[in-house]
Amino acid sequence: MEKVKSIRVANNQAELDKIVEFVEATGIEWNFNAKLSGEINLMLEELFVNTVSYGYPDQSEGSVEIKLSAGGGELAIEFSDDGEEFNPLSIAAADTELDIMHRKIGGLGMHLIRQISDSVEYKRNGNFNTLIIRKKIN
Amino acid sequence: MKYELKVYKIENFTVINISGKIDSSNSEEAEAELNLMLENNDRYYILDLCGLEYISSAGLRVFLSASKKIKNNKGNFVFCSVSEEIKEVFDITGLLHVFTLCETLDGAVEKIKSMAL
Repeated sequence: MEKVKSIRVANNQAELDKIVEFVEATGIEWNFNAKLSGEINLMLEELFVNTVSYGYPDQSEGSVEIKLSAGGGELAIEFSDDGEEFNPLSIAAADTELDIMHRKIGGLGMHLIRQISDSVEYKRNGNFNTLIIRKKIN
Repeated sequence: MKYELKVYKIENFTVINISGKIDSSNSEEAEAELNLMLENNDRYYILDLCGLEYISSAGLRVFLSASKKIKNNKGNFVFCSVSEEIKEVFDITGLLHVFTLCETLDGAVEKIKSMAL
């Protein structure tokens, strides 16, 4: 049977702690190992920081909803925000082959998400950007 | 404060022990603090990550920035005692190939000695 948990936070960097607590509490309840909880936190932090930094260029107040669901050997992470329309999958893949002195600082977030997950899908629903990340779990 | 930096010397090499979590909420502070520790005229450093539990891409930027600073100063550095979780993040982002990792602090001291020759 599918289990679902969700949290809604404001588009404010200080809310990151709430997301971390939500993931850790859900991970304990659903018996995730520390590695999986850490990976979920990592992916959500990357998305949240990008959304807060670039999704609301007029500094308006907004909200982000995160829904975790697990069932059938799969975890789905749904990340929705009411910021400007933006498909993060359009971000070019980071060049991780570059020598350290020539590496740009930044641009690694979406690369991490793509590598950790099994699939990532973007949808625009009304005023919301929704990213659905799926990952196989045991 | 979610992270802690401690600095000490082993055989004239500066060891910086980094523990806790480095994420987007504290990475700027950690970067400033680490960069300050790299301004002690040493060229060779050991970054001991034995107590580091979590790092996001914001945290990786702290290490990339430190690395650039050390290399611009014609120095070098090694990491040691990196957990599997942190190693995975280094691996995914391609940093495992650009950073030098040692299993133990003792190993790191030997490695940095050979680099400083």
